[in-house]
Amino acid sequence: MSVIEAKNLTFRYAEDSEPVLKDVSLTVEQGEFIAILGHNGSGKSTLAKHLNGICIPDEGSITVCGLDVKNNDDLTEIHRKVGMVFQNPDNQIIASVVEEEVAFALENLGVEHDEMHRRVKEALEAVDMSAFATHATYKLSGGQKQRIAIAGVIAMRPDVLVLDEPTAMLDPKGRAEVMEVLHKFHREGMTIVLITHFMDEAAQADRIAVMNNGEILLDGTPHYVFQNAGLLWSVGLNVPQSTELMFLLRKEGYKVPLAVLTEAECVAVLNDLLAGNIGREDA
Amino acid sequence: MIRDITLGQYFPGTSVLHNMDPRAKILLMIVYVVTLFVAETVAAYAFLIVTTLLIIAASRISLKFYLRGLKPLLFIMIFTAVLNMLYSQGEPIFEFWVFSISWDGIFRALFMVIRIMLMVLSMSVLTYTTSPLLLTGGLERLLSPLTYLKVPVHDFAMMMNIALRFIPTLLEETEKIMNAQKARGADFESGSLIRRAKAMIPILIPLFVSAFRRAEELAVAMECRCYESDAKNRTRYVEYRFALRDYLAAACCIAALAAVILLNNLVLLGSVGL
Amino acid sequence: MKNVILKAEHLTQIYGEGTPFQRTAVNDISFELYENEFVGVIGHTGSGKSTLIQMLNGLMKPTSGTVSFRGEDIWAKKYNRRLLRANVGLVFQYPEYQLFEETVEKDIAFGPRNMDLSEDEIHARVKEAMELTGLNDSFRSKSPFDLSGGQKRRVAIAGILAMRPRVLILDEPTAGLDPKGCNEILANIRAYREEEGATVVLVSHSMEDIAANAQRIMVLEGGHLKMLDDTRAVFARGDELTAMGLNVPQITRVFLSLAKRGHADLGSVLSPEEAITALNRLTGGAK
Repeated sequence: MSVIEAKNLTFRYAEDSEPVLKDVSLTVEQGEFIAILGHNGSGKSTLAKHLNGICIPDEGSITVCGLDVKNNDDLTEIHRKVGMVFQNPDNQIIASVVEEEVAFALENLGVEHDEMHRRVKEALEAVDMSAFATHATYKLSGGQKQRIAIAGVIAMRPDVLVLDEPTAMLDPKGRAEVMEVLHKFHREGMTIVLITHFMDEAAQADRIAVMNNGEILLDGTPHYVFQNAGLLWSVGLNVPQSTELMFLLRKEGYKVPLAVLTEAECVAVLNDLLAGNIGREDA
Repeated sequence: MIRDITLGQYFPGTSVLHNMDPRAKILLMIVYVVTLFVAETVAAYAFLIVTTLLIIAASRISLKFYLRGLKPLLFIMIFTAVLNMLYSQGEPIFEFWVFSISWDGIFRALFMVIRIMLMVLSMSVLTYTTSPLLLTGGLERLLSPLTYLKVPVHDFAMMMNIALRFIPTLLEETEKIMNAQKARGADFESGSLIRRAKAMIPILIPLFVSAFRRAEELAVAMECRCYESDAKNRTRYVEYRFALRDYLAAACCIAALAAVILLNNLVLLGSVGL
Repeated sequence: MKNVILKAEHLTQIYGEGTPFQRTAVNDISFELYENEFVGVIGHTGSGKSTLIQMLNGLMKPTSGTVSFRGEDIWAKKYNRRLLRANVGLVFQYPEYQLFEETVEKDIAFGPRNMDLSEDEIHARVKEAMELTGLNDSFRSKSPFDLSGGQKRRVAIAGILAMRPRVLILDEPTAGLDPKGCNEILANIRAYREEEGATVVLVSHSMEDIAANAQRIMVLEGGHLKMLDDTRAVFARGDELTAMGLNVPQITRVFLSLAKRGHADLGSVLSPEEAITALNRLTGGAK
């Protein structure tokens, strides 16, 4: 079942300007973990804002869990069903205390007192921040702040979690914390849309859509997408070093597979190569 | 430096004062400040100094933080004291030019300073032990009858909350920008007043630009979390209910007021009435 | 011949001394930086990196220990620390947040102007800094606030380069940029080092960037200097770095684990290009 169905989206920030999205179509299935990869200005953040009705497309249509974003009456319900987490942790935390921050959306939705407390507790447990319930939000580390922001969204019991470069401002530890939380929710069946320009994060998703210039350039599994290293380089993106090595080896004539992403996969191929199991084209 | 400003800051904790109903705390603080203004004698002041120290002890927050909160007010206190000392009636003990200093004036100045200090300290107790969200929540509920007069009480409360939430963030940012400009050779410490004022431009402009960007992003984040300023069915995470401790605190506060009135009227050894 | 340009001796920085929040951010660190070298600094958030670099240009006074620039103690009486900040240029994290002037040109000129240089000299330096950071003439009169994130970052870095620092310290200059933006900034930094013969200190979380650029690496943990050695030697201690929660470039990790499987003759590898050379050596040379 598809949760998000975007068809032929076109969007401009000003009427006479170049469109930021050009005829973009994207379907996200229930329980999928999709990464949207692209350089700054490729349109990936704008696409994210369409997924929960913050931006309304100039042309094309988009439905979320069967609701049309163009229908104003459904907007609050769409905001609830599609939880959004943004890049800058400092600019999305509204409350000064952790538990009150997580409760913010529930207060707005009019959730009853007991139910609200139960959900806040659950959400904090889910992101492993229960110990910080009564702490001041501004004193947390970047990774902790983002986990709180995620908890604040999860408490709404959304169907989809959309994250717009949630790790761009974090250190490696914070990035790992956030990714771990995302994997956990994904295992529990949550649909996740991760906007990022880190190729190592995108490689952890089930599927990657690569954006360039307001269009979807590639769409498929990480192994499929990273095989197109030349194309990715040409649009200002990177591939994992292991993948890069395979490309360089191919140039040298070694008949190595291109779909290599992880350290373990790379070690296995090189072991084979050193054992003489991989042929080489002669010059 | 900027980090020394503690007034309005909240120190999370679990003391009795932390757990009190914010509405009770706000009302009782008002009563306490009134009590401060009722006091007239040495005995009454001594009593209030003791009670204030007891209240501070009950907050389980180090006295050091309270005293640090007084620092920015030092100038105002000295100014008030000097003014009171110079313009006072009574038997002069020292005279020069148009001024005369009397015991009366010295006591008046002393009382004034103590009064300001106690007032700031008791307000600090309120802000140190009450999270900004609770504080504005308490104010909002105390002022909620005004909603019927079409005063947008909730909007004001939300604005207050956000302002309080961003104070530490913006202070930190100010320090960062200052350091960044110093690294480019900016000089904030020397030169004439006009020169120094001009030197602030490289700090203020980036600060404003970033505050606007933050406001814009925050507004979107709030919308994404289903915030509508005119929502009718909003519920609250923190529900307030007066508990036994709130009634006890109220009783203590009224007892203190009574004690001060009593001490005002008792002529004790060494006391000087105003 | 290695000439020392900046020297730190027993640097210690304690925050909130005497309060319950007392914290030793930097603990007894000593090292020497040489002219024209490229040093990478790695460590977790809170390892003392930011504190350390702010002590190197005199923005922060160490609780104890000394910093000397070209043999002179920067906290000696009458030492001109404003001039030092031009000589030891510091680019903070997200430097684009310090931009404030109406035009790119004026903003870049802010640093040189504070050095009381002549108008001609300021003009020449702004021009050079813009060229080094790949900002062509059309940017001159643009408002810095109308630029893209990567361009703003380059304007901010140009503002430091225009002071022609002999030591250029950068705190995560590529944070938040996409791969293309990162590569441009790193290329700008390399170009400055080559043209001016300056020393570069790069603080970064990206081990790939450090491996590709730094000659030596400083590893900080909990305020202590844990390692200071040639890049290859530091990354050869991959297990120790991992134990500190720090990373090693993916390709280096691959070759470290190949070495453990009996291919120690491959040697250590810092980049995919080096990997090819090492592999070719074992399998019978380049094509």
